[in-house]
Formats: sequence, C-alpha cells, structure tokens
Amino acid sequence: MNAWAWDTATVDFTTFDVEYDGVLNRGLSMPRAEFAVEVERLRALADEIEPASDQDNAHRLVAKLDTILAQHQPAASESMTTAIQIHRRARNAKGTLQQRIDQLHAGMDEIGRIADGADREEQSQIRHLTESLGMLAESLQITASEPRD
Amino acid sequence: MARTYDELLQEQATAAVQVLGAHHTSWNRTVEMLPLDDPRSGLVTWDHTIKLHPDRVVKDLREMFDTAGQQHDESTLRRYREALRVLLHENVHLLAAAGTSHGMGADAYQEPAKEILEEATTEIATQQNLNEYIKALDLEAVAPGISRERTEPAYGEYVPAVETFAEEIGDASGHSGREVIRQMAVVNAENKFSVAAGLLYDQKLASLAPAQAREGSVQAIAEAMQPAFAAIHGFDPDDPQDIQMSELAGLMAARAGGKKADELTKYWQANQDLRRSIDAGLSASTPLRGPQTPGHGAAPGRSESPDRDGRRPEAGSARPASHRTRGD
Repeated sequence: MNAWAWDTATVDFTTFDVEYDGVLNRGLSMPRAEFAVEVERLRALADEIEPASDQDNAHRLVAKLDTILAQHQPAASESMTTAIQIHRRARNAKGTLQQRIDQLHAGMDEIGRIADGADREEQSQIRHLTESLGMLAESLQITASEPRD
Repeated sequence: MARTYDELLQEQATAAVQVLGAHHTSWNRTVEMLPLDDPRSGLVTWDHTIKLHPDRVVKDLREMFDTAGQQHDESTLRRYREALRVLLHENVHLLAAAGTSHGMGADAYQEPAKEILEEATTEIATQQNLNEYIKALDLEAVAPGISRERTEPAYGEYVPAVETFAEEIGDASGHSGREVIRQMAVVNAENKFSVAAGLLYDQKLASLAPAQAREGSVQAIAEAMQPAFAAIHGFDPDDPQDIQMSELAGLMAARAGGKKADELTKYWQANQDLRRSIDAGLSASTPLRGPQTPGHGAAPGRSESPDRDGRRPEAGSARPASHRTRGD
C-alpha cells in the first residue's frame, strides 16, 4: 500500500488490518530501527480509521508492536552470533538423510568448539544450541532406518 | 525430596510431572553418561533415555550432594542451578499427554514450526518452573541459596516468539501466557500447536459448533498457526541479520490462528440450524472433515484427514487439586 494513500482515502479497519499483516511479514527481516518507523506509520494510519469506534482496536494492535519493540534483547556476542548461524545452517542443510545427519553432527561439533572458547557465562547458552541439532539428527536417523514401502 | 545423587535420579522425572501438572513422563528410567567429548550438556533420546554430560552436569550434581548443607558462593550455586536446569529441561521434553509419548513426536520434530515450538516451549517452561522443581526435590536444604540464583535462559532466538505467541493465545482464550506455556509443555512435539488451537476453539467455538467439529477445526487452526514459525526457521546465507524481529512470528502465528477461528465462528454462527440437526443426529451428511464448502451444509475446516494416529491431544492436563494455580 502506498505510504501516503490514506491521506485522502477513507481507511477502514479491514484495510488497516491488511496493512498491519503486511508490516508483520516485512518486519521479520527488518532491523529494529526500520521496524519502529513502520510502527509509527501504522499508528498514524490507525488515527485515520473510520468509523472512529474502530480506532481503539487498531491502536491496541499497534500497542502490541510497541511491546515487542520495547523488549530488550541484549546484543548477541560474536561467539553467540556465529553459533546461531552455524545452528541455522546445520538444521536447514539439504541433501540425503545421511548428508543432513552428517551436517547436523558437524554443526554440533563446531558449536561445541565455539562454546569451549567462549566466555564462561556464555558457554552453557551456546552449548544449548546443540541439543536441538542432536534431536533432529536422531529423528532423521530413525526415518533413515525405517523400512521403505 | 532428594538427599543423594541417586535419589535425585529416582525422583527427577516424577518431580517434573508434579510441578508441570503433566499426565505422565515418558522416561524409560535409564540415565546414561554422554561421552566426554560430546558438545552437549544433556539430551533425551526419542526412546526416552536421559543422557547427561559427566563433567558439565553429573559432576556438579554429585558435588552438590557431597557438600550438602554447606554455604556456597554465587558462582558455585549457579553451576549447581545450571545442572538442575539441564535436568529439568530434558524432563520437560519427556512430558506427554494420556495415550502419547515424547517419542511419538519424533516425526513432527522434523517440521520447522513444530521444532521451534518444542524447543522454545520446553526452555520457557524450564525457566518458569525451575524454582518449583528445586522446591519439589527439597534441594534448597542441600544447596542453601540455590533458589535465589538466576540462570541465563537459552538464547532468545525463538523464546520471544513463543512467549509472544503464548501471551496472545492466552489473551484470546482467557488464560495467562504462563498457563498456555504449561499446557503446551506437557504434550509432545506433535501436539503443541493443537493445544494452542484447542484453547482458541474452546473459547470461541465450543458453544457454537457441534462436538464432532472440534477435532477437524482444531487441526485447521493449528495448521494456520504454523507458517509464521516456519518462516523464521530458515537460513539465509546472504542475510546475516535474518534473526531480527523473529519475535514477530509469535504474534503472526497467533493472529493467523485467531483469524481461522473467527472464520469458523462466523460459519457456525450462521448455521445454527445445521448445528442443531447435527447435535440431534438428524443430518444425513457428515460435514466436519475433508475439504468442505460452506453453504452445502458443511463447515469450513482443514483439507486433510486428521492426525494419522487418530490422537486427539488433551488441551493440557488439569492440574492436581493439590497444586496452586499460578496467575490464572
């Protein structure tokens, strides 16, 4: 939707709701600062909704985004960021079942090495990333060992 | 009450069932040691064995009991608490609803959205209930001050998404976010979305739709919730910031489920005659499963057959009467 389209057009709640969903979808890959700008745009849009009785509902939805923005996520250390990227790459690996299992085990080992070299306070958090890789590897192993129909 | 490491192993699973109000634990009563070079601190296998790292978990737990009653510094208490966090986390994975087990969720764990919900729910439930777990095992007497320490939660890559999801589902269904987390934590990976969907169904539709509509409708709502979580599971090598704002996924998932529930609500509001005839057993059609078109005496719902095992997950076991209700 054109950012300025509502300057002259009537905005109903349905239109706002569609725009809200659009912001959520785009927001998944937005830096926070950029997302904050989008939230302000939605807030302005909410003020334009007719009938006015629907504006409260729209502002309630915008307030949910304010809450998300206000949640403080401490910046991840370089070790944690690297471990997370290894985790995501490993669990999204493509290929045969065995190739995926091998990638998961390689990811676990790599994350383990990062944990060994990380600050003590971060080690357990980094190691925790390996658990889900191991569970997925075992699940795929079970699938790989099932008799084919 | 646990006064030795061996007693802890005997009671650790039962304590988790008690604290979380689960139907049962899937634990097979086996605890094994991980190899020293295993990068993990603890894990639970799909056949329900708990495995613990000898240095990172078992050594700390044994030391805690060997020095029972002694005062410890914060660093030592945090080590003990972290070991107990690992133990509880694995036990939460093992919790399951009647007629099901942790292992029955093995296939579901391969689905990105279900993996995210399983891991983040398990960790949130662990953090929320660790002090109750310590209390249930009477470990404050073993390691005084351990309840006051705080362990860092697992990194919030998906925890905020699931926390938001639980809060939204709670708002829509008259529960606290914490209770939604609990109800999802006590079922396996296959059934967590169905539990959340069931809460929406029971709040919005139970009085409008015939009883037979519940299973198919809950599955339709659960399916609507999943794409948002699946969207944050992937890896984009060209976008190193791809974990930004992933907590929005929880809001999106809850909204999608809510919209599906609203769609079903509108249908049944407009078709109460049909509902009454179904309830009375007078309707010739069974419009509640498979692809259906509203207006043909049928309900909108999922387009696939129900869970292949025919299981209907409980919407979270009722807590034993002896447990207080927290925040509900």
